[in-house]
Amino acid sequence: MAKRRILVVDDEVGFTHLLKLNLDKDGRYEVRIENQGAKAVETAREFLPDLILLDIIMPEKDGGEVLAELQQEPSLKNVRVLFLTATVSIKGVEERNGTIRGMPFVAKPVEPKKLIKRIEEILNT
Amino acid sequence: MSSTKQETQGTGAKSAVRSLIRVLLVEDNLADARLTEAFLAASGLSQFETHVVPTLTEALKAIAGDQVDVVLLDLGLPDSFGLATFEKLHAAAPELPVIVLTGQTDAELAIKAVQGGAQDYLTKGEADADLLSRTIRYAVERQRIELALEWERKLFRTLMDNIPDAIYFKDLQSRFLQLSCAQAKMFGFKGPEEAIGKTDFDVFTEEHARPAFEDEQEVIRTGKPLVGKIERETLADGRLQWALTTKMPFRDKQGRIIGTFGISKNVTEIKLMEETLESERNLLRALIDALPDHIYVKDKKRRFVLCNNAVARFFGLASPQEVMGKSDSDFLPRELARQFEEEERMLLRGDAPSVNRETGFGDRDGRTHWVITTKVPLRDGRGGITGLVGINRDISERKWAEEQLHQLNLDLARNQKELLQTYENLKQANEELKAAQMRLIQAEKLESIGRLAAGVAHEVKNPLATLLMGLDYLAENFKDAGEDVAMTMAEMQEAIKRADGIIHGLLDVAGSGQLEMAEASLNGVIEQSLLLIYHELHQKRIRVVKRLAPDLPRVRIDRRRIEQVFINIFSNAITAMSLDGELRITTVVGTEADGRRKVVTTVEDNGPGVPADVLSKVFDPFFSTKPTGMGQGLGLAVARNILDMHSGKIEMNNRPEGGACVTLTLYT
Repeated sequence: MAKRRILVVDDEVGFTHLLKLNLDKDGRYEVRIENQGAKAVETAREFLPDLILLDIIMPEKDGGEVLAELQQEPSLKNVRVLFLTATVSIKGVEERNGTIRGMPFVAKPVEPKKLIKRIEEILNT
Repeated sequence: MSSTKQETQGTGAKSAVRSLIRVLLVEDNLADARLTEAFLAASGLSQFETHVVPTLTEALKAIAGDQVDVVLLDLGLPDSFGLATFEKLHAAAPELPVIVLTGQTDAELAIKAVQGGAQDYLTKGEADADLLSRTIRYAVERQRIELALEWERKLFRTLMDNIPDAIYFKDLQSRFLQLSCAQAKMFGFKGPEEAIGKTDFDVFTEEHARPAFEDEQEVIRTGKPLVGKIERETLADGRLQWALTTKMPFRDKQGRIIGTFGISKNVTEIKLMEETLESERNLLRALIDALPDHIYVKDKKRRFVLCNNAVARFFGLASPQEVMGKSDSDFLPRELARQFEEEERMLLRGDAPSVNRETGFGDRDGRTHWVITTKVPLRDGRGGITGLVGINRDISERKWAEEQLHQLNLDLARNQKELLQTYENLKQANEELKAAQMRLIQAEKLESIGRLAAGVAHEVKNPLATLLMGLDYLAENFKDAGEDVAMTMAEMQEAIKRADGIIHGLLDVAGSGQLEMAEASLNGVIEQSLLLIYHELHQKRIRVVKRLAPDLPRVRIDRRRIEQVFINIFSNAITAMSLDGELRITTVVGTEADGRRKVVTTVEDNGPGVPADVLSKVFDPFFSTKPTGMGQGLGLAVARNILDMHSGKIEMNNRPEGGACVTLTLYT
């Protein structure tokens, strides 16, 4: 079974690096990191991921804008997106039924196991 | 002779007092005496009763008895001779008419006797019965007339010499003909004779003399008397006097006016007294009229006989004259007039005077007027009551002022009370304002914490996320590094979670957001919350005692947030209590003073309670009594915030028997 392609778009270099280490260690994913929101669409067009873990608050271009652009792109229109954000609490996640703009999200900080569980749920729907 | 006889008869008939004339004949010659007696007896004109004595001594004795009308006296007697005989007899009875009988040679002597007072003389031998009889009658009559004249003159002189008034007779030119001594002396003369021939112009100033003269000329011209005129006289020496004069026309026998006569009485003293009285009366009048009090005198029938202007004004009249003869009932309101009548009747009956009695009465406008009255009886010389004197004073203004003052005092007291009430209200409002301000500050504090938290959360969570990722990776790679490493990893992971918990708490405080209100049973919410902390209760073996009102009304709440409130409160209680503590939860339904229905929940623990000095701070954010690391100090702040959003209340107290008690109030 081919590895699932996951693009992580987040300006937190340390976090993306450690997240990639954890996901790589799982073995089921091919992970690509993009630390600049502005380059997210370009990287995605090239990488063509199955899932994008998208941070919301980033300099230059935030997650919302990135999502809007992705949905404009025919090749990326159906790519799955999981927001990964530090802006909401756990309670906030519950209040929003776990979605932001119709997309699922996970609040940081998050334990790798819980995140992988969530990723699997999304990829298998 | 016949004519003489006729005249004599006429006179006799007119004036003779008595018809029988008692004659004392003093004659020592018996023959002469017999002859004279015979003549008198023979007289047919008068009846004579003759008594003869021969000596002067006997004659004097005879006249002493007043039994003699006339004396026929012979001057040559045995015990007296000549003129001396007459003089002695005349001296003894000067009013007794005496006719001297003389011889033919003694005519000279007889004339001297007549000049000395004898009525007549007769020459012996010449007198016949007729002559004798006539002479006697004439003598008696003449003596009578002389005496009468003498009497009248005496009366006149007595009057003129002694009367203190001025009595005078004046001729047509107003010259004094006769005047009283008093008047003469008033003019400065020694006696009347000095004044005779003078006029008023000689004794008075022109100022008085002229009108007096003209008055007299008027009397002379018209014949009308001038009676009882009061004249102001200024004497020549400048003295002033008042006279009451009467001037009459002075007529002669024929009735022609030949002058004036009159009497003038000096009434200066009376006049002065009158003036004094008048001025006293005026003074008194001015005084009582000037007084503002009502002063009046009433007779026994309670009619006004005197009053001052104030009374007239009070009755609405122009002058006191209009009040005279009237009574109170003619002017005053019936009620007041009756009151006065009653008190005055008692006074007139002899009861004690009424002094300073206050009487109130209503006027047409319904306003009450007040008078203060003093009434005393008026008595005559014998002490009998003839009326009353009264003084009334209108004290309405004063009374009104007093009433006003009283009213003002009441108002003042009321105002003071209101002021106090206002002060109290203000104080309370101030307290409320202070509390509201505190809440506002609190809310601001929460809001700023929220903003801060939202900002901080993102910045803190990212490094926390990195740390958590890193730790997990390390944990996977150092599985066999020993227990110490594993424990270190676990503690670091725990620390990250705690830090994350603080951020969550802060976001909860700040994130008030929208409430999702729905009707719910508070009892159900409490049960649900207890379930959520079941693990902690179980760990500390806490016994839960529930006294939940079965028929609790449903309240509109955001169920999840209220659950959070209960969880926070229960957690605090559990933390405060040691093992085997007791948590008591009670719900009751009640009604506020303003009628709102409320559901009150009390949560009591039997822990150590809250120190009094920190009770007021327990709802402040970041305030915690838990040891560092055990709590963030946000639980009660969050609870308070949520209750505020529900317009509810949360309070914390210490129970008297120990432990803390949190009271939650929610409104239906």
